[in-house]
Amino acid sequence: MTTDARAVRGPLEGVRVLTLTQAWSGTFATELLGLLDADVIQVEARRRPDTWRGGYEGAIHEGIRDANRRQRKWNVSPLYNAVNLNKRGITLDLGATEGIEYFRRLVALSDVVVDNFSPRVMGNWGLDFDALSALRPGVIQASLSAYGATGRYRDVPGIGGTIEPMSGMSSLLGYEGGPPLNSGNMYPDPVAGMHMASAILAALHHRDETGEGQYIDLGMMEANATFVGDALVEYTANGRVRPRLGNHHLRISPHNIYAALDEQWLALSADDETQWDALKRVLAWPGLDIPEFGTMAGRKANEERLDAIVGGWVAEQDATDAEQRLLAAGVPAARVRFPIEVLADAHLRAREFPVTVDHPEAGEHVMVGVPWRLSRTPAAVDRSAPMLGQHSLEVMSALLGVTEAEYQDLVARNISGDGPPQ
Amino acid sequence: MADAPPGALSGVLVLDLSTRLSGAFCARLMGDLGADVVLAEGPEGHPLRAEPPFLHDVDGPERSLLHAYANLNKRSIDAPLDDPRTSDLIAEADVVLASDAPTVGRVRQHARGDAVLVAVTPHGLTGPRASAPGNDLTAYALSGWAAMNGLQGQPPLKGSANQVGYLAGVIALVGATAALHERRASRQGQEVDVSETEALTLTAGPTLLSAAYEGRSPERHISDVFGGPVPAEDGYVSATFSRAHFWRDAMNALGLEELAEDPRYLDPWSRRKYRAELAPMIEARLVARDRWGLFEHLSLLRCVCGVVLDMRDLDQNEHLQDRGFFVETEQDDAVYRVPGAPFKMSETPWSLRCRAPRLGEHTAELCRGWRPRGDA
Repeated sequence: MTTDARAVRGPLEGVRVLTLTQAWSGTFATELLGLLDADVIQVEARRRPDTWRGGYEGAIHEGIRDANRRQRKWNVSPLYNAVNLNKRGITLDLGATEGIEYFRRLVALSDVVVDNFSPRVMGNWGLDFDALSALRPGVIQASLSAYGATGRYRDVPGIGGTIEPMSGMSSLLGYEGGPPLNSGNMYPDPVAGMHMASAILAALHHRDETGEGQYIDLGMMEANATFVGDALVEYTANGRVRPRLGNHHLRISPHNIYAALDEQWLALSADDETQWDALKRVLAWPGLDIPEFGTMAGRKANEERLDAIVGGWVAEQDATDAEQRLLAAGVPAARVRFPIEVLADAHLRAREFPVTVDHPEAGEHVMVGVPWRLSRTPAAVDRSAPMLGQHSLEVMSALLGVTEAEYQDLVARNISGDGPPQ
Repeated sequence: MADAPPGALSGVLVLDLSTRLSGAFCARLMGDLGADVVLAEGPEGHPLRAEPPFLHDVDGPERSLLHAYANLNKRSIDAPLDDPRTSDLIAEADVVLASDAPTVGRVRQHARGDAVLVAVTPHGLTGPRASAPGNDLTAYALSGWAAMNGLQGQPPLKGSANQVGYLAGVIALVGATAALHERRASRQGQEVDVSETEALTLTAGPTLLSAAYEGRSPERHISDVFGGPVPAEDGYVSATFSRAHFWRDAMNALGLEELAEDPRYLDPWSRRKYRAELAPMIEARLVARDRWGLFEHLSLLRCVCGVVLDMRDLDQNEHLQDRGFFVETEQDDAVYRVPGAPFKMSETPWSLRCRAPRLGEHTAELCRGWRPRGDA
């Protein structure tokens, strides 16, 4: 993987996205556009780099320390580097008039401007939709915030860990009879981010057709609430508040994650009668051929008994072996992969979903790749996440005609540059 | 439908041949954005029609609430896949959604050269597991998310119902709209192959790279205030104290002044070393106060705090009402609210054009062609 190694361009070739997003949600939205070959220019400030870089102070993670590389802590964060592939990174201090001016000149050359600030911030900088449209007619401004630009919570801060409860997600996540839980890692961020990417592309389609740009206001609370739609409707139509279901399903049984040998876990379900018959053949357990288990409704009604039988079988199994036997028989099954092993999976590798990314400071790592196989204009990973300010000179000289001397002057005044302000 | 404002995808003809939530939701979102979506579901009906919950707990092909939500903004024809009428629709469509390889094969025979074919399947169209069965549960197991979710000492935990279907549907929408953009210049279509498992795994990216750095997988959460929601007097709240000044303000607001100024606790990472002693003190203050009082007090200080909303709370939430988030739909004899726009677009607003169709409701008009005569 080297810069611009694409043999064939992706579907968003020629689309330029200027983004002020930080952390995960909006950053994920713009990464998706970058994976589809948009030219995504990520703008940070030296005095306020992306929070997911983890700050300027502190030690390099010992797992990646490499005496043969120059390593700066803010360039090697696994969080930042995981969600900023295929972007160019520049620094501009938008607190300085001159920084704003360069930003405005970049807007004039961009199709999309993205931010994840509180609703008032862009306006305070003189960068509201009307101002951006004057600079670039037809521009798409996409603004992502916790609760959206209107309504009584518009100025309330939020992150994935608080949007999860506020969107209804946490109330549904958890073990049966247990408390509400948040996901293992701020699931609402990528959910909102992918919705934002779709909104931008829909707006791009409209601009392609009509020349008209527009303003997109995405509140993470609402974007995530669309993912609890069926549970919400269960309340508005039937008056029932759905309880937490653990690993169970409203209709299907068995449908659970069972303990296997050697501290492994096996997920399995039988979604219809064909799969149930197949499961019975693999388990070869006479206790399953009883009238109570003769229909899906019967199995669901006797779920505890059924779980005890299936769980008893799984407890004696090697999870990898059981997964193979169940899949061969046509039963949905998967050994639970721990994060460290997810990308070693043979099927994912056969599809080239994991990609090896060589980052100049962090080194070589296997990471998640692209979620679409496009037959003619492929999406691809072709850049590691940018180091802070890595492309400042490249972008400003190519797009704005800034000379090396002018750039060094901006660096000296902390308006641009690639490290902590001096 | 004539009254609805033009959407961003106005004029795009989408044929939904899906049999899974992922493809159905993708097509629905295109309908929300103004595309003309036809659900060709065959006489047996889309499989979502058989999924609970059912309206007033009475099952039947027009009673599934999941179908009612995922098939909004579509028309229905009850022609089977191998019917010539379906072939004619394929030949007209700009975008075709499929959920399995045989359907993909059929579409390839009849689609226009500039059509975008979107296949959303459990494992993708290629690779050793391509034809294996899969669902929400297996995607959670394979992606690492089941191992990340839940609590230490308890089993791995999948996400709540249907997450993978919704999520893969949005990822598919992103791929489909990118292909539509490209088509303007090339005048050629293409195929977009989306694996539900990969779509979910993508969202585990930061955890997977962190695990690679660490050389080991992270532990699941501990059930305390640093790990997620904890009890308030009348429900649950989730609070994130992050930076030093937020910690200080939050501790003062909770009457824990002695914690507010202790230098050991100012940094979020060092704070976690003391979580066993800190968490019970903070939780004791939270459980003594009402959840909305905490939300308002902490929000005013710009400390990040969330209330755990169940579906009743969500439906009645005043902020969502301010924004007009919920919209009404109808099904059989009932009228009820559904979540509306995931985002607001200033020029091409989201709109609910029509309720989910009855099975074959539009067969007669669609037999006369995709667009009713006279409707340009």
